[in-house]
Amino acid sequence: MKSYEIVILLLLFDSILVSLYEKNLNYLVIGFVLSVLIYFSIKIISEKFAV
Amino acid sequence: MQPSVFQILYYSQLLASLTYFLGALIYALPFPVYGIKKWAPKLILDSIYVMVWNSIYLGVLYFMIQLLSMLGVNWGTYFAFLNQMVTAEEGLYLTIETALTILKIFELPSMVYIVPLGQIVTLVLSLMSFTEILITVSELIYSYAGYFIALGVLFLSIPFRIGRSVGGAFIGTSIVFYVGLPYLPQFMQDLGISIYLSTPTPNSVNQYIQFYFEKVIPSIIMAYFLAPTIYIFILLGFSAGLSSLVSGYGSRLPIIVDVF
Repeated sequence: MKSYEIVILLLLFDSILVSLYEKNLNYLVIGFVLSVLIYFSIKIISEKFAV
Repeated sequence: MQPSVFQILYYSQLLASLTYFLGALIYALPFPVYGIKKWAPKLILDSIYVMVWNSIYLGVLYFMIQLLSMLGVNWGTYFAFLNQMVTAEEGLYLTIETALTILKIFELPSMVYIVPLGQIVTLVLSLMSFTEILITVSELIYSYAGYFIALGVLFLSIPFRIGRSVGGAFIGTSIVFYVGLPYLPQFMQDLGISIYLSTPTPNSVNQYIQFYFEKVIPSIIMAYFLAPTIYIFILLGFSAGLSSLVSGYGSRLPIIVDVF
């Protein structure tokens, strides 16, 4: 598995966990936004800049 | 306001994301300087490691509780045992104070010099303080073990491994002491150490004094100070081992991860 795939999966899982226990959807939304950010930024970095 | 456990885990998750980003950015740096580049895979794997800790947090708590029940001990019995220790010490203190008062009332000052009751009072008071400290530390571990583990994960998630050893120490110590401390009464029982003092059957004052110095004093030092201290040192050894397992270079992910 690629590292960003694992990070995104774990990030989403942890966000769901925290939002469930804190009963606050903000944590889930922020986790989701962060996952999307990681996905696209790492895609760009890995395709264009990585040496 | 004190953040809750899950808020702490959330902050550690954000820090882990930052660590991952930093790792990816360093990986993509256009100049191949080994001193900087070597951090890229480390940071990326560290961030995944912290996120795994975040995910298994509840599992770790459940595992600790299961381990306690497998050992056949619980915190209620342990606190009852500590309270019995304090009660026995208070009884001893009361006995010595009574003896001291009787000696004063009957004006037997020479006995005070023969039997150093003042020193025994100091010893008993020191042992009481030790037991009270043990109770306080136990209550702290019992109430905040989960919180300390979450704080440990937060320290682990600081980029560039700055808080790694502290985080590992928090996690290791919390797990070992939460599971290990309630086993103290069983440990003392296995060694044949009792906190209850045997009643003397003296025929004379001299025999009583001899019994006191040969049996009572060594056994109270053993039961109320040495045995708990030895046990705490054993637990500290275990927690150092677990801390190095969590934070040291042995902490590897069990799966192979492609960086990109």
